[in-house]
Amino acid sequence: MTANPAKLSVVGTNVPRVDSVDKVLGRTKYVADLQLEFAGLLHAAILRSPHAHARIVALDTSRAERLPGVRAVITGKDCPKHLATITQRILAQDEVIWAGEGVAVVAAETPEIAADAIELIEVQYEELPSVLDAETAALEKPPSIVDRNLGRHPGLAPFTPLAPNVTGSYQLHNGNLEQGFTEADVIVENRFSTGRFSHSQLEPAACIARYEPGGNLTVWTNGQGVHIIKGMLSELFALPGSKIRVITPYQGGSFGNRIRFFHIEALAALLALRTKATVAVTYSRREMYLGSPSGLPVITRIRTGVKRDGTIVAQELDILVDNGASYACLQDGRAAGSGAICVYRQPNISMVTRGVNTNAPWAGAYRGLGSPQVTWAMESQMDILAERLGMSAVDIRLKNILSKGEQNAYGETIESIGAARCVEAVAEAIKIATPSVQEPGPWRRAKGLAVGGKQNTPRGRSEGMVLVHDDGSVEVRFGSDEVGMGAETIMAQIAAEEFGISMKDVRVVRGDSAMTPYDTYSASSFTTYNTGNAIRLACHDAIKAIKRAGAPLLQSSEDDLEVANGRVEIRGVPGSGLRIAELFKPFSPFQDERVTELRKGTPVIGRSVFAPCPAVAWDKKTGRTPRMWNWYQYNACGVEIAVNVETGQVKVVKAALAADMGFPIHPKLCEGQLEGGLAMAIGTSVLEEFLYRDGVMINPSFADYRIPTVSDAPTRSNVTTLFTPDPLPDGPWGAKGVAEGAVLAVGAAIGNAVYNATGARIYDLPLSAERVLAALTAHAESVAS
Amino acid sequence: MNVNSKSPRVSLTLNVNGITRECHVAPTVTLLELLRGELGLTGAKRGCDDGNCGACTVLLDGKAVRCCIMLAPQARDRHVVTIEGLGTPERLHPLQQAFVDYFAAQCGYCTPSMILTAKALLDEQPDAQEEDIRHALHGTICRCTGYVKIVQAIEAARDAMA
Repeated sequence: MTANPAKLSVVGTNVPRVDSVDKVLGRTKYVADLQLEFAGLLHAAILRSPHAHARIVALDTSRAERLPGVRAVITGKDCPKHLATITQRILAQDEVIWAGEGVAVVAAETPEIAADAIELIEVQYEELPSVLDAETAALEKPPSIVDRNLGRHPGLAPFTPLAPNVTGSYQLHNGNLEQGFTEADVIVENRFSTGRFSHSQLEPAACIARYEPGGNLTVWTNGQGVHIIKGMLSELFALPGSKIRVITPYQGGSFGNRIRFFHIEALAALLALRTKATVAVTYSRREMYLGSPSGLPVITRIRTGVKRDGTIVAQELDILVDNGASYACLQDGRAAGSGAICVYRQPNISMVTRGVNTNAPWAGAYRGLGSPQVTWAMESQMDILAERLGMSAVDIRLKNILSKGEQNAYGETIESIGAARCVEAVAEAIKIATPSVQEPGPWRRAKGLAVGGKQNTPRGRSEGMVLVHDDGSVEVRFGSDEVGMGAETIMAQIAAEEFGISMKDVRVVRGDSAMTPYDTYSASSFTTYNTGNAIRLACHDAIKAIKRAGAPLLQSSEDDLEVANGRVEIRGVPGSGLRIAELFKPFSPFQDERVTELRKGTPVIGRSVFAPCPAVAWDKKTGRTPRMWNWYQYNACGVEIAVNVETGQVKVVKAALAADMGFPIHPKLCEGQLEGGLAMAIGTSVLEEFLYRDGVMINPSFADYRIPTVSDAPTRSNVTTLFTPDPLPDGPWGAKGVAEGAVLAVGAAIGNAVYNATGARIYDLPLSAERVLAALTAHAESVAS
Repeated sequence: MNVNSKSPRVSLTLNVNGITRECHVAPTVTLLELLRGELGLTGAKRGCDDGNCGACTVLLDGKAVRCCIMLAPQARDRHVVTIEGLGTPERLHPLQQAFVDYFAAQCGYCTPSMILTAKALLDEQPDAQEEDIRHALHGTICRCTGYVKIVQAIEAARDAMA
């Protein structure tokens, strides 16, 4: 259903965030803030591998166990032998497969004793060859096999890997590629890559697990998805789900870092079960780099054939996604590859994606799940093509962007696409056709733009629950997350709109598996769509119940009633009905045999299930399907940059982002996602990269892995955010999502601008000063010769 | 975070949010550990332990300091203000009100430190301009907002306090 803004009073408006007063007062509790509440709390420390790949020859924990104050020491042999569906092995077994993998964990009476104890653990390693380079890892005979059981994990469907480290592959073939290249006037082939980068959310991973009499386990964590984590712990420790309660207080960011890979929850639970006590596991910033997931490095090779008028007639893609040291992970690169499919019309296409293991930290979900990395390649390629054809960056894109109702290369019919308007909006905002004004000195200025799309992953179900209390107030319960994006506010807005009440009459309960109905986690920008639709349907269910209760009392039919302003009334006759609170008078309505709804007791509960998409399936030979993903959000970025030709430093001076989020349920929260995404993507495009020596990361700190400060972001008046929404038919009021779109096109816009400023095309992210300077030097030499 | 019970204790007196507190702590305890662990003031956050993220920022005699890299005894006889000392739900400090009004808090983890950093700036320089604000915020990291709404909120608070 799409929105008619004139009829909306809460949805589509900038109501205050429901969580902001506590946040500005410093009263919001995060997991680490709860530690004081637990008397006798034990603290954990983790011994991590110093080698990228090594055999554990001997492991002696006896000295650590004897240290006074140590309550438990656990190694791989103490861990469950089976794997839970969504968690890798939680400690190393016979081999360590990345520098940072956990080898042993200690629980002790103080953090200091725990830290001392892990130094007393003696491990003898025999170093093995390691591989960090994805292309080398993907060879038929790689120097290192990361997961020796790949394809043979108990409980997972067996398969024969294409190569020892290749975890999966997806292929898409449509049209006639050879014919397409024959028809092309210009063919361009390039290889692009992106580095390994970190979510670096400000709150480090933290978890507290409490063993309770009777074998119950309560877990407080900043991991995402209380019901998902509960399911994982139940599976891993063979505990009935009813004995496990998972609570996530407010979360200090995630960006994908705290979905899946729930090592910290598994370790805390294991220690609590072992010690029959309460145990806190808290990662240091260093451990966030060494022991928690990174983003996915992606190598994209593209060969594109275009007609003189810019029409793409042939596209050949080879996409290699670096999983890091994944274990029992079947990543096939399909999600990353979607970034190459969802924007442009590509009648003749062949795309092969692969996932590959390397001896680096496990890489996984990071804002965009690989799409931004592939967009970097696609959109650099588009500018290269435009220049060859003498076209503008805008024209070549508009020539090829898919229209609503058309089929993309998967065979999906596009229901909602605002990509062309995104491009036009940013081109106008940064005046792409007007050259930058140059100033004397080493800084060269220029502009660039790019556009991208991000699939929404069809995932599980979201349930909504809405309670109408006897004072007429409404309580919304949902099982997904509040990682900072404002999900609680969005859900409260939806309920306030549906009940025709103000925000102050809506309360939100979230983040507790014992209090909320099932949901997954906040990922793939789908919380507004998945959970929002569920809450909306639950509101409808509760409103129906109230009408059913009110109809006999008002001597009217349910269909003639409406619920608004805390009242149930005859439609169009204000003052005709009664306050919802009056339905809950102690006796009369409950005694009235006709008021069946109230005879179920109070509060009145509305419930719903929103399961957006059945399991997807595709033709195994062509990869085609009428439904691969749910929907796509689109985003374009235009920047003006300055590059210092003496140092290679790149600064983003001005930026415009245009987003197609379907419909902005809260415009200021959408703006916040765009502004935040811009800064984050400036980080991954210009500053951020894991650096290695001998297979070991050498910059695991905020001092050495530099994320953007305010000085790296453009000034307030130089950031423009624009909305170019195309409503989604089944989104709440047309809404899709916005969070991941914000980071899609920033990198390529910057890369294109750097080229426009200097004539040097750089194919690898990040555009660090060192890399830019090397490219400028090489370019100057090639021009000279 | 627990205080190491094996170390000899030192005594110190300091004023926290207007109240004089007497504490006995291990000499290696940081001011952040003292505030969070002993005094239960959890508004100051731990983000990095090496002074690079600024999430632990508090005011020490009116100056913004990173208390994760400061030992508690260094605060002896000095005035500490944490976010808990700033406003109340009924009467937010103008900076807190502006952070609400301008949507400058997303996950909220850096919010106390951003507000205190801005307070130190505006107390010293009530007419601070955007450039001054950006300079003051340089050492305080936010991963969510891109800083745009934080700068806007501080400018609005400056105007409201003028």
